[in-house]
Amino acid sequence: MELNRSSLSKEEKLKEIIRLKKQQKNVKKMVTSTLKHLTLILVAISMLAPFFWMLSTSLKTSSNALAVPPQWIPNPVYWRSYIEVFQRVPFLQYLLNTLYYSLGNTFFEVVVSIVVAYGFARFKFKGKKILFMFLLITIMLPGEITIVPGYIYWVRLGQLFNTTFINTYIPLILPAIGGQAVHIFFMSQYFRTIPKDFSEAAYINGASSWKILWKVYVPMSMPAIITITISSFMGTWNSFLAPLIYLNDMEKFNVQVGLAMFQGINGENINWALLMAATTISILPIIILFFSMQRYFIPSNKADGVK
Amino acid sequence: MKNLSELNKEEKVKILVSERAKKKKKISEGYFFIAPWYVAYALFALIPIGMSIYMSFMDWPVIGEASYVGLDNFKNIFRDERFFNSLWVTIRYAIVAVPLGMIASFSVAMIMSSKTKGLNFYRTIYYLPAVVSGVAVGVVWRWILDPRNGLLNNFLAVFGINGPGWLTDPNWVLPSYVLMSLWGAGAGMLTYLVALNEVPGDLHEAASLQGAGFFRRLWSVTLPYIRPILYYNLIMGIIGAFKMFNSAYILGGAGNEGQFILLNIFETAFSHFRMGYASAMSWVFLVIVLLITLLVFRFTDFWKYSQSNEEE
Repeated sequence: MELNRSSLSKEEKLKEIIRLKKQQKNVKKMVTSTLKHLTLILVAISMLAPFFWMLSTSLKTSSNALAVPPQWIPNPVYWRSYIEVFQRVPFLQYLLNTLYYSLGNTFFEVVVSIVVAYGFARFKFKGKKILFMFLLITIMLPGEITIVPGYIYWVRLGQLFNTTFINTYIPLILPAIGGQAVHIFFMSQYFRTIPKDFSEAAYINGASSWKILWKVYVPMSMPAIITITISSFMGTWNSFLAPLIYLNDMEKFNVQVGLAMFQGINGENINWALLMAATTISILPIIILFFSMQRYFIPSNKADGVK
Repeated sequence: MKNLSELNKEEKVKILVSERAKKKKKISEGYFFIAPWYVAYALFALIPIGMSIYMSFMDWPVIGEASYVGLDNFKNIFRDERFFNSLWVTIRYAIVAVPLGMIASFSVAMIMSSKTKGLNFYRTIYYLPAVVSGVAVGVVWRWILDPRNGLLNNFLAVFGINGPGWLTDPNWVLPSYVLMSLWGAGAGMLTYLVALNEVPGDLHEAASLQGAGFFRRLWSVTLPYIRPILYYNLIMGIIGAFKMFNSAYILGGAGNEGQFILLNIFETAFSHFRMGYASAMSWVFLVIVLLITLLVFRFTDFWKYSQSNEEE
């Protein structure tokens, strides 16, 4: 080796060393890359496994769901649970209720949040800083503080108007008419990035501030608006605690309360196949929304990350 | 401008005054736009919050007369074993689940941040659990954690491991919740991924040239750079633990080990109908959450971060 090496010219030696180093590097690269993907795939599998388990169970007969060892792939594939869910409980009603609730809430939250955000982004006025600070602080305040008194509040409010708001969607939807603090914050940040020239041009042409909002700001902010719309819709679709408190009758339930009650009905003797079918149906709209609107869900820049 | 100089003084003043009037009008307009949120917040949050102060000094059954009891509710809380249990359950979960989730998701984010084929695929999959409702998550995990027929114990059985009773065994309730929270940690992971991509590459290069190894670079370059997002996720994680309700309501847990503080408040108010006492508990809950938040604020530059973010 020593001899061989010394017989080569200096240049060739150097070349040889570089070649070996490169080879070493390539092998190292391949090993780390394989390890990397192996880890990522393992994590992906554990993320998907619960969904797989849910779907697989929902397609088993109720007795096969309890088989030991378990069937990973259902055999036979049993679809009837998906029909039975609708026969056992008013699940279609739950879905419709949830749709109304989500659309109503989303409409108010999005439209009013846009208006309020515009007020903060475009106008200068006294106390703006403090008012905005207050809004931000309420985001940090856990809204859970109002759960207990909120109920009494709506009972009393009902008595005041000689009616009852309990067991209706009014206490769930009406508070949304002020918009949502997080959305307002998000939208006002977005509006601030829109150059003033646009609105000033419109202003000179005699457009009112209101018109400028809808004709200039809103069309230019569609990605942000879609983001808050999805977030609002998803938040309402998934909401549980408030509906649990305010809704009493089965046919008034939203999907989440309906699912929770369905789960509780049979105590320990749960028909898991049926319950998993119900769960699958309950998350399906959100999953579809997620896959069709992915880029609005997944944080891909700094501002999104803070949401 | 040119126009203005051509006009005589009187006319100039007129224009300027009318402009000022316009400006004044603008000021009031801003209030008009932001009013809805403040009105709604006053009506649907501030009034109930005010009521809850009042209620916390009352004995308040849902049916029947409420009566003033002074500080009794608060005194009782500090003697209430159930309350301390739920507080302990919550704090213990926060201490274990939040750092574990952060470490796990940060590690995976680190792996992903180097050039990765199929990055979008992984991002989609990892984010998926975060979009599903707490109720659905709870129901599915109750089935996964089923001691006899559940996915987890059946999976462990493949390796000859006799799985524990999970939710039915008081000692395994906390690990059950931690496992579930790890499953949902993907959303936080993506925030790290975003932050990691913003760490300037030349900083790493400079550090490597000076002979800094992987861990040294992680400690001295990456972590300081992404500290704001770490703090942010820490606060949100802790607050999230205190707000844990949906899956706790579904899953429960043997020996009251799954009775998180919010679940306890809910049951006190709506199962035991002790509204006044539950209000007092809510206030203790709020003070604890605020104290933790302030503590983290005090020792971090979180606020600076969110402000710099605001200016973007």
